[in-house]
Amino acid sequence: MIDQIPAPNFEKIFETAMGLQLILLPDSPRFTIVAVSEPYLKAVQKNRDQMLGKSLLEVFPKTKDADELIISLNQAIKTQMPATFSLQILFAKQPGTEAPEFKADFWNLTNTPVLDGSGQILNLVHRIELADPQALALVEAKELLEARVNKRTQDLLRSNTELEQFAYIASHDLQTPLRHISSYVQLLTNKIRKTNTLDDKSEKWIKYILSGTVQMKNLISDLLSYSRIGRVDIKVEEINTVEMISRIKDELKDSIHKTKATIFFDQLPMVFGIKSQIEQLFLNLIDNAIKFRATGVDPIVTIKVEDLEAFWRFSVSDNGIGVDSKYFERIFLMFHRLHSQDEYLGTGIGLAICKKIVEFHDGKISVNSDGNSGTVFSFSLPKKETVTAKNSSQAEI
Amino acid sequence: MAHKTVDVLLVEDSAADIDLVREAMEGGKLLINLNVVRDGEEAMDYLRRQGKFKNALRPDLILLDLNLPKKDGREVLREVKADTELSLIPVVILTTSSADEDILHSYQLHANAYIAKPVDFESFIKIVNQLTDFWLSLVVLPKK
Repeated sequence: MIDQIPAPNFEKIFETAMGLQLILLPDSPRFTIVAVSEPYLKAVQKNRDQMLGKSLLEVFPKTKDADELIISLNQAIKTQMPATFSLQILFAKQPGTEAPEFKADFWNLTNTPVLDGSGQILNLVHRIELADPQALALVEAKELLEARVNKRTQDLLRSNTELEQFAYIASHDLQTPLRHISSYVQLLTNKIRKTNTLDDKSEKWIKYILSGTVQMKNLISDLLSYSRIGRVDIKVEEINTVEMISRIKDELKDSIHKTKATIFFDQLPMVFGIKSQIEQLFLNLIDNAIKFRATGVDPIVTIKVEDLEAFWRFSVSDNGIGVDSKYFERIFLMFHRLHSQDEYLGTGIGLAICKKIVEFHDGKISVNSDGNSGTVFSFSLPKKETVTAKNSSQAEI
Repeated sequence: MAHKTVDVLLVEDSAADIDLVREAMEGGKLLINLNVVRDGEEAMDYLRRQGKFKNALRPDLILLDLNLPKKDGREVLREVKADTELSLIPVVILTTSSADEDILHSYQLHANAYIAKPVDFESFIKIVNQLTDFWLSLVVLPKK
């Protein structure tokens, strides 16, 4: 029996139990405040007299959010449906008051039209709620993560630049005394030779000294090359692989002629990357293929390519001395050599440089061999579409 | 008309490197009068015939190291090539570095040639002889 149920005190309910709310007149753009809840008063540090009869905009912080608020209210009026939007609001705690402190948080503002029987808008209920705490936490976590990533990137860039500068200075300052040692040993040798007192042993020892300086010179150059690979400000472009291999063949023409080497290659696609690095990559692999040839066997180098959708997979294979499977990983480490300097010349950085270049281009490199009759180096390089897609999606973030 | 002796100004701070140039020039075809200054400031004083270099002879060729104390080689190059008189003298950069930036920068500052000093001395002798033959015997330079 409805008569016996006591009617709830809607006014009291509104003022105390409904959260942060205002009731407004739909008198756009003034939006007169006709009721305020206690929690709202506490949040904005005002009492009821200061708010009733005033325009909402007098109370609302004068930021660009105020424009959005008007738009939302008008939308609620026009569509006769609740309109919500989010923003960050900072409610400050006044010193010495009991008012609760509110952090700068995401709040949802909802403006709900209240209609009479004939579809006219009587009031707008303006409600403020804390946005979903989980969604909030997610946003905060994302912002924190991005800040960390940015800082990490800056640190890496700085570290890379420092490494390059260090390598440049170190190599430069090392080369000068090296040059002096080498040159004056040669000058001394020439002088002593004229007195005819140099025996075979002495000549041999002098050779050791001079080849030591050459080895050092090569090491310094290779270290410098290695340190330069991390640079991010170098132009990335489309590279004509076939033209590049021809250039490499020309550069290696002396050793190709001497060893009677042949280099076969498929129809190779254009690749996308840093020209000088990709050229260094192929050069090192082809040079190795020729260098580590089997005695009495003319080296044959074959370059093939496989289409892997987002990547091209290249392989450089030879018919040389091969690599034992237990060294498959180690050979890509810096300075790791499988043979002595007397057997095969080299600094041991060549493959480390190849690995760094491939990985800098987001690819992978690996080796296969039966340890006997030849070796295959395979590496992947991204296609142009893959790189440009990645770059544009990163730019969006 | 070919001069009997040619004047070369070497701008180089390391005594070891100075002697290497001298040794390399010995036994060459040309009679070279090698003048040496040890830093960039001295180089400019010499070329402008200022201070202690009042009686300096205008060189036919300048061999310039890039890394010098006081004023460095790049500054010297810039100043020489900016001067209407001095810019006529060919400047060959003779330096340790083979870094692309150094090479590019030198040519941008209008160096006539760039040579990275080799570790092997025999090669260096060849280079110095080819250098001097080219600039002091083969090509025609403007009259002093």
